[in-house]
Amino acid sequence: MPITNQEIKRVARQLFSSSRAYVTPFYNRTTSKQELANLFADRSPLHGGAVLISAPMGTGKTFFIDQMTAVLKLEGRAKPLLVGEVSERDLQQAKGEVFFIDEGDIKTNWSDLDRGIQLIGQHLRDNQQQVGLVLGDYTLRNPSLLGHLPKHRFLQTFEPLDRAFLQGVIEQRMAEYLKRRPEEIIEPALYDILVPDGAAHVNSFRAILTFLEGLVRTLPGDRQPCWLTVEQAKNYVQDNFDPQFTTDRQADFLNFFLDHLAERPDLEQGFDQSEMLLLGKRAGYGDWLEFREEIIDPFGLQGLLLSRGVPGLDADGRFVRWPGPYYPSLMLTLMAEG
Amino acid sequence: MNQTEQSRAEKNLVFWRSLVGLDPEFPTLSPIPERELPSLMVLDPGQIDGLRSSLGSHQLTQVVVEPGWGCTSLFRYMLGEVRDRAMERLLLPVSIDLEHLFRKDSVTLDGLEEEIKRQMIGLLLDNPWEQSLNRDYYFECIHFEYATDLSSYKSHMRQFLFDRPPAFRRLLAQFPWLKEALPDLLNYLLHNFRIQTALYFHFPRDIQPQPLRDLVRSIKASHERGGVEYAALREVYFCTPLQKVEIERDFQRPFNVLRYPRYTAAQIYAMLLKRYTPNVPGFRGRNQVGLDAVFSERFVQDAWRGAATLGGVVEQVQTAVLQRLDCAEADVPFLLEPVPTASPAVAATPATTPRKKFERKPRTA
Repeated sequence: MPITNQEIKRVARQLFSSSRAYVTPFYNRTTSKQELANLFADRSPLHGGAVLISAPMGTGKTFFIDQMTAVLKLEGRAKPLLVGEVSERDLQQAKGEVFFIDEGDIKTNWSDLDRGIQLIGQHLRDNQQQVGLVLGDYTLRNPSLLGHLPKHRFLQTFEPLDRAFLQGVIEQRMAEYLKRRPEEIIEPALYDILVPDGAAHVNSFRAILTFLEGLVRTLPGDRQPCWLTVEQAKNYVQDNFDPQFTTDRQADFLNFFLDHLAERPDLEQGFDQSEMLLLGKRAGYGDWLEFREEIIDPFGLQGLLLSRGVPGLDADGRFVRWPGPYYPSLMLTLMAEG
Repeated sequence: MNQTEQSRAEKNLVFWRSLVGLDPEFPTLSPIPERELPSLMVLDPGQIDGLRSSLGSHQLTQVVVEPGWGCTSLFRYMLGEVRDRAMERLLLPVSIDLEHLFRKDSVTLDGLEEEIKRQMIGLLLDNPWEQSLNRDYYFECIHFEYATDLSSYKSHMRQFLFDRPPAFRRLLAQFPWLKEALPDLLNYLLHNFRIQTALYFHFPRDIQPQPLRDLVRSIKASHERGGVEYAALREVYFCTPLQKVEIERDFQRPFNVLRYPRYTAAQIYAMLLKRYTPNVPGFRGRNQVGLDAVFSERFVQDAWRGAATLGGVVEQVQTAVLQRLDCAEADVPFLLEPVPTASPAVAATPATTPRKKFERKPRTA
């Protein structure tokens, strides 16, 4: 029997939860688990250094580490350590062989990130029996930050969010919360938009699950089979899409960009700086600086553009949070479909 | 208007105000003092009911107000209302108002959690919860051991809430219950008292993005340290459209979004009516009359069409009033009406708003 709208709406919070408000079952990431377990099986080569997990925000890094506390022998997290706020005293109080530190990402300003990683590096130099496990977005790959660490290793296989992964998570949660055999509730074409394979490295669980919860809220609470379609998603986005623009050129650019998106299905490489600027020129932008200030930064700030580049300081000492290559957000992809 | 004309108009304004018995502040709309909010706020009952209903039925709400259109007053009004009914609603409304908090320091996880804990214990002390909650659990929270009279104890303990600068260690020493991690405290209140904690957030209009990012990071870390039960915590954000984006970009969650509209010209005129009561000469002494007896609504209607914020409306009203009063004292009228030529061309909506929504153009070849 198909799953009804009523049933899905009843469990939508749990089904699409991306926070620890609900203890959701863990799915997949077996390769990462194995890699991390192997890495920590013999810790001596890691001592005095950091293991870094660098992936976009909302991809489940913290959730992943929660699953690995036993393997990593992490002490209880009475007080979370955050890269941007950590002090030497906090680090001295970090118990155990492995300490865990989170939020090394673009939410924090550059000077605090830099100071935090420096402190961690100094602490590891002074405490050669400890290993720092540091989580963050692609900012952690910035060579200038890495230079503060005595040694480091990245987790290589933090599985990106692709279609099979998302499908598996939703099926597993349906089985858990509906207590019945899961049925597909998402149109295949919608999966293609939610988790385009080409953009697997910028796809975020939190963004997609929040989107799905919002979409489910628009369904009637009836006994019709639940079937989330591209059409519904498009309508939902059109009702909620409300970018904040200060100039008409920004709207013009967005129209050109959406046209371009509709014609260019392959997103594997994203859009590089020159491709973006070329589109910008159609809207009247002359140089990169002007384009960055009016398009890249505001679009990044509003979550319209996603970035796969490594954030860092530019030549003027400004923290560039959204460097290329660029990918459209889910909202933009759906707008382009319309 | 040159300087001489300005001073003539201003002199006439003083004369007119004293003639009709209006306060020297007229026609400004300064922030309403806390205790007068319920009586002086002009609200659309339909909109407010929508807000109340969303705050009551959603864990995560964003109340979005265009910058300069009364977000602060709305926040203070809603917070005041929910605080007045805390016991009835079994709710602890904690205010995180960045207009007053974290002005000198960055928002940090520790700082945020300490502030929340400080207000939680304050709200537990401030209300007579002992009348409705399990006493043993309640007394454990406020660390009362039957040694003294409860009301004296509460008064004595309140002093620790207002240490300046805040001395959180001193507070912990007085209320050991607060040593628990914040999620445990929130869950404790829910499990033992069915009390939910609600965080009411508000930001200054001109706040930079970084303090918001710091706040989001702290909230996320606080959630991720584990186990805040879904029903234990509500979050309500009073914000501008850009602040809304900043709040949800890096920690996306299913917010229920309510857009609170701009005040209409009629509402702004009603605000003036509520604030200012002319005291005009009467048969025996002076009589109170409605503002409409001395001041035309057209001032506000004209100003509303050309202004981008509530403050802008007031400024334009002031300018138009001075323009009208730029005359010989003998020509100052009792009932003030705008100079007919000073009125801008009639428009259906304010000149600068509502903000134009993005329009998807048909695909070009």
